[in-house]
Amino acid sequence: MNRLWKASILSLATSSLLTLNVLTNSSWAQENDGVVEGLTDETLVPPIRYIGPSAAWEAPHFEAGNLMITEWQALGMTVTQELVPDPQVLGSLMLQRNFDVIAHGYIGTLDRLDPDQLLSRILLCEFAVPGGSNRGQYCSEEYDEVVLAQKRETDTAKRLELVHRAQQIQSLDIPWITDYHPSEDYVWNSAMYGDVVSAAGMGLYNFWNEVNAKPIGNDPIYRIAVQGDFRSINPMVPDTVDGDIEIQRLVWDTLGRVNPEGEVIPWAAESWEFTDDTTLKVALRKDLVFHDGEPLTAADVKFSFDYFKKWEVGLYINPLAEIESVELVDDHNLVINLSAPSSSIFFGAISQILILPEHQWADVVERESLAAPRDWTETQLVGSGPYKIKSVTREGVELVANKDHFHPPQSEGLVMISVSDQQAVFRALQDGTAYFHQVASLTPAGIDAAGGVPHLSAGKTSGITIRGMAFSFAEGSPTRDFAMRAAMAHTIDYGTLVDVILRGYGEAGESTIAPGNVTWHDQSIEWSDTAAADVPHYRSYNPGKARQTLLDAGYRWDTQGRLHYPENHAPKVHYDD
Amino acid sequence: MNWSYIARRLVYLVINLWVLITIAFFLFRLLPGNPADFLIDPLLTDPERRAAVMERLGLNDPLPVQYVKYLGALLQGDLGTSFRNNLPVTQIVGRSFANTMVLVVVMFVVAYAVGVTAGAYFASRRGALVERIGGTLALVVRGAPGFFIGVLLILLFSATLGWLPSTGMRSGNYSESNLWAIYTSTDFIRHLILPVATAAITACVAPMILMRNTMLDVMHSDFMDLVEAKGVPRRRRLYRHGVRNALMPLVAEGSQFIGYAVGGLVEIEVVFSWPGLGREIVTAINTRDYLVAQGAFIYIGVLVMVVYFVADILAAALDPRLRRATSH
Repeated sequence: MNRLWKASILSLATSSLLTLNVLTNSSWAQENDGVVEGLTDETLVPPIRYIGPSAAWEAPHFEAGNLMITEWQALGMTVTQELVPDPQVLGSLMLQRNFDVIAHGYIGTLDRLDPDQLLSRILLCEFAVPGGSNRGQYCSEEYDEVVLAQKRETDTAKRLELVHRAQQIQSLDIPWITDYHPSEDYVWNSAMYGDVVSAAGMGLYNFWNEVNAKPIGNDPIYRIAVQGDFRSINPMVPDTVDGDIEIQRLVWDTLGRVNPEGEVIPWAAESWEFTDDTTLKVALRKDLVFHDGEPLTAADVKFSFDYFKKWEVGLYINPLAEIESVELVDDHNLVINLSAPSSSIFFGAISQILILPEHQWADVVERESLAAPRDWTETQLVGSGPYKIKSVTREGVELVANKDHFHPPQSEGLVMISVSDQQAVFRALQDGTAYFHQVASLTPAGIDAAGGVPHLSAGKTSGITIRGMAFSFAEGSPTRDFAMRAAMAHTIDYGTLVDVILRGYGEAGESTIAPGNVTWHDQSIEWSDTAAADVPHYRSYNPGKARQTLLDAGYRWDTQGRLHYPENHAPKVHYDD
Repeated sequence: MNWSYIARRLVYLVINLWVLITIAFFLFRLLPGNPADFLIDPLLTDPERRAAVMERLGLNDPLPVQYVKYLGALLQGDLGTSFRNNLPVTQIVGRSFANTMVLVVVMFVVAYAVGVTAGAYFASRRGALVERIGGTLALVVRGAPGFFIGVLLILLFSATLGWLPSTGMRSGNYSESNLWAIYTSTDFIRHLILPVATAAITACVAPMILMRNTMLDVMHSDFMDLVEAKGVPRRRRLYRHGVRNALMPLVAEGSQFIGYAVGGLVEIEVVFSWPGLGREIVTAINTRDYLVAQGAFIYIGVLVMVVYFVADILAAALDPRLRRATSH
């Protein structure tokens, strides 16, 4: 009996001690609220270094950042916020890599309707080098494999599967979160122009509208207000997509054009076909003529490809990197040899490389004693496009319709007017100085105000611009840990962002391929708070879930509410680690 | 004419110019960001591309080397080539300068005509209700920002009444390069009205107040009593003797006016998208186009210095007392 009592007492004591241990043990405490006493600064999560746009530069993105930072602070994080006044300062800061979260975005342009740029340049490991475009230094074998495969896949259906998978991996691994996609709202003078043509991501600021919109008032000139100055009409100058490219693509033809539905169709080319994975046979139209009356032949096409490559014109370096050589077959036929199979050749070189007249450019360097053709300041340049150059000044650009073109414009000419800012764009529309405007050059207030102006009408296309944030995967960064990113993904109040901050002019962010890019966006990815970790999903706004995510990963909070790493913290970098 | 006075002024002008050029050179390079970042797409950039652009722009040289090269080119009249537009800076800034000077000259004439006339009138109506109301109104207008007045005028004359355009310098015909043809066209004049009105409304207050105060002093001075005692009629007394003496301070103020006007026109040019020097500077600074910003800065600086120089000479020519003082 005594032995039995002793055993019972011993069991009871042991149980009590164990229970007491559990009671005071952090793991049990975590099952409740994660608060643990006695934590030291050694385990404290360091301040999150956030870099983002200032209110003056981009108010909605600035406000979105503030919303998130408030939530992060509520989760116990300390945040240091650095606001920058323009994208160029942001670019400089990105190079220094001194951030954990950097908010930025990418404007939707026609060539970005092809998903390759926004899948590869932001997140492919090869671009994670110092100065590279993968700012967060994200590296995932799984992601790289899928994205590189879609780059080479020329079968559209197979490529679509790969593009969708890439977006799914983005939603699973969360290297980047898109906060929102601004919609492309536009206003135009409907008393002066009808039959307007909007294009995905561009609104009315697109080639097809500039050519096909019909003048119905007393002015046959297509007038467009553009914020900022016009850089140069010289096609050898552009390092990036700018307002001058829009004009250049009216003056010079390309082999193909991106249509309003986002597909590349033959333009100067009559047809093309792949004879094998890397060989594209192109047949030119036979009615192509330069503005000076000289015929446009395959030799001019070959010359242009070679010329842009030789002089390393910044905007065309990447599209031309896929081209190994161009061979002439005859005056109207040529063969383009690719260095490797490429799915983006059509959105790349085919629709971007301007066809220059060899007879004007071949000897310009020697003739004009230039260091490079980009130094040529002549403005009366010869193209073959639907518009010819009349004048180029600091105030604006004037073009005259080329009625001999195979697709002549409806208008008699085009004037691009350079104005100071978004308010000036609106005023130009209001007082009739301009009938159209550049994409993303009106504020929501301006678009709203247009409703009160009798001669102005408004419209909308889904945007393909993305505004979001990249997480740092650098050693020592708190965001290197998947749990931290997954928690942060639950802290974006999309409802307030879209309804209040954007005033309805946009939609909640979904991957780097916007819903507006209907061809390539993966509609299958759902918003969810309860999906399993390996099921692709976007995280809804749920601060409770954010906290639980951290709790489940072992994060703790001290009695002051500050967030601490788990015991013996070793970050789990990817969702499937 | 005191030639040593003129020579001294010229030496000061050259020294001031050198200081201005140096300040402009280093000031813009202190701005955060880099010109290359404004020329290349951050999405497409790789380190080699960025480095190539920096090399092309000459920004890889040490700063002192860039400075010396810049000074050397400047001595040959070369302000460099715009990073952004790849055009000679003299071409960009020269044309913008002409557009701004048109605005400045017209604004100056209007502001001074209105200001001097109103100031003389208020001085002759000292103590009357009209003088008190006018003075108060002038101070209120003086305190209002130029862009605010501009927006009000745009709201009334452009947005509501639809009488006048509010954007740019002309509606089209950009191929016209003859400045006289441009500046005398009806289209240009219609575009000029609102920017000039905006600038002149705030600018006329200073000459108006100065004229009023100076006239009051002159009218109570001893020589005016003598003129009156000689039996000179009131109108002749006021305008031939009074106004002429009261104009002296306005000559000095006028030179300062030009300087403030050119600087103050930045906001006017931005509001009205006027293709002038002020807007060019704003664009150049925003895009880190250093050479255009420096070139514009230099143009404005030279203008202000030359105006001050001419004003000094003019003042000495008008006032014999100044000539005698400086000759001693």
